[in-house]
Amino acid sequence: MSEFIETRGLKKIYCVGEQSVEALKGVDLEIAQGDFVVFMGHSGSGKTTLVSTIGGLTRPTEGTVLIEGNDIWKLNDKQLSNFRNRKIGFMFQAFSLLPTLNVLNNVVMPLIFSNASQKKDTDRLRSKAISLLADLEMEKKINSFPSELSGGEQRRVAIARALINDPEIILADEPTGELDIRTEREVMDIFSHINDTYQKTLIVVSHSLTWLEKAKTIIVMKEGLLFKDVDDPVEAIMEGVCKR
Amino acid sequence: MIVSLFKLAYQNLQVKHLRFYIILISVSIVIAALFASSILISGIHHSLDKGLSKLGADLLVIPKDSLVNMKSALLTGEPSAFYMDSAVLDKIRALNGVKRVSGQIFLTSATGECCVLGNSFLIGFDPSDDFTVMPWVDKKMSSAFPADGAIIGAMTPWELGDNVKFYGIPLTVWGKLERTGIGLYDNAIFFNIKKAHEMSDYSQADKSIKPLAPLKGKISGGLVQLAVGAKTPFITFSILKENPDLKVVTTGNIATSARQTTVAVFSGIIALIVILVLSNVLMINAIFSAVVNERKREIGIIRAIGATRPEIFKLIIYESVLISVMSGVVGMLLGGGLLKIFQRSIVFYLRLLNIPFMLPPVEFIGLTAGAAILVALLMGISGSAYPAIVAVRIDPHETMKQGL
Repeated sequence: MSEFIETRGLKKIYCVGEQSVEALKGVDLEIAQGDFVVFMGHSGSGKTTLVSTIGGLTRPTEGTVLIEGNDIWKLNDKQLSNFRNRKIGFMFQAFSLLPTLNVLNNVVMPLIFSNASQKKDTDRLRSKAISLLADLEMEKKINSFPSELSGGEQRRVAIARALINDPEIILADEPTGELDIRTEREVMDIFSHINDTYQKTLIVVSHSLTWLEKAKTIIVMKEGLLFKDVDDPVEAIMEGVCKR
Repeated sequence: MIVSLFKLAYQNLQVKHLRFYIILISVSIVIAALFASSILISGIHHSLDKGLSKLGADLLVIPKDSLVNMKSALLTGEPSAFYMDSAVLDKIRALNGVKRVSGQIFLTSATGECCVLGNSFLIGFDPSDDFTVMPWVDKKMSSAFPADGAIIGAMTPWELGDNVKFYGIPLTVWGKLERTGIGLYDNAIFFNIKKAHEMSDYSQADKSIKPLAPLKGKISGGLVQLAVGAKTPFITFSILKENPDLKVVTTGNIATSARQTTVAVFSGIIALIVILVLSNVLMINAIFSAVVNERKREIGIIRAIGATRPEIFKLIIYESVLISVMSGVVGMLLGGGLLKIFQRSIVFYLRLLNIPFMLPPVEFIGLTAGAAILVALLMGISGSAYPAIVAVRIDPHETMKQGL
């Protein structure tokens, strides 16, 4: 695996009223292409901020985020939006689908913001969306609306949407939050399948220890920093980082 | 069909039905009022322009104390009768700068006279020097104006070929003028001035009807057309200098007077519409601000999956464009419908105020409809612009913090 994502001296300071909160305190990180990384740590440890910064959603106060050697935070809004659209598939927690659109339209929605030539080939895009939904056993629900789906089904649709533009990176924050154990395992299996079959780089933020079975790399964060050089995975969750 | 930004905006509108209907109803009412008022005001102006230009006269010369009656007669076709010495016309003709002068005699029909409905406005004109009715005859009719012929206004109850009789003098309806909105043309019946004299003579002889004034050597008013380059104030002064018992009014003055009355009548309505437009813009702003606030998470998701800031702006603006255009169309139909239903009452009310009215040309109504929809569109865009800017500023990371 070659280096793919790299952060250098990443800092993020939030201003809350007159107080400033340092969410990231100079994070140096390297993620290889095709890796399956799970970020763990207590609430407020900075994992969501870190992933959000890598995903081009939150501008860091200091430091760089390099994807394939390019500093994404030197891009303008249009370029950055295009980067998010093409390079990254986001998967959100619950209620991440647009309630006014049916399953098919939710899945193809990232294409609205894709380049014009891609948008024109609507038949191909529709076929691709249906094929993805079929892979996720959701082909019978393409005309359903999010409110008619179970939590697990909504996650599947969100996964299909994350994959529709064939991105190289999938970012997911608590993708199995609020799910029962069985559905959680189903979603995790899908993630493993995506990682194995499509060679996507997966970056997951979660509190669930069940991800330890699936992840290739577990990174534990505490107070805006990464823990390093800890071999025991469970201990690592509390203290540092472990690579399998 | 694959979803588009526009379709997404359309779908979003269907989520909060109540808000959608509040904007739709409120903006529609404003647009209805705006559209109907515009049609009314332009209809008045159109009527004045068309009618007064048809008159072809630069000046009207009438007895000094008959200005009010003349305005009523001219603008609303109120039957009126006033007279002055016809020799005045020859003096005016002799003035330098006067191109043509034509006299007319105004009569009112006898109440209860056989075969005459209501109170008709009768006008005798001299075909040999007339320049208000005869140009129409020359243009539209292939034969010469017969001695016993009558030309009727568009709003009179007769049809071509009808035989009518006033003060015992029979006339045959020979021509019908197109509608102008000016009462003098629309409600009057024109005939040879000789017939007016015959009517007067008949009325003197027939003791069963109220006699007309003796008309020998009399005229109700003179229409004066000036030569190119002639100065209106100078000619007016010259006429009044030799004929102090006369009143000289320009057709422009009459139009201005009617327009001023129009402004007085409609200024309150226009002010109300302006206030309504502004309050609707504020209402749209408040509703869209609430919508954006509620949809922060959704907007964050859309930003995350690749929407640029301008696309978020467009999404919000598209929603306002859709709803405001719909409101504009509904408002325009509503205003047009109400105008159609109440047209008779409105015209009657305007006539009481000496204000003529006729519907403006279809092309103008179309343009006004387009303008009304444009106003609705501008209301929607200006009301939603600030909320759209707020939406643009939404940090997608906020979505993450709420559980991306």
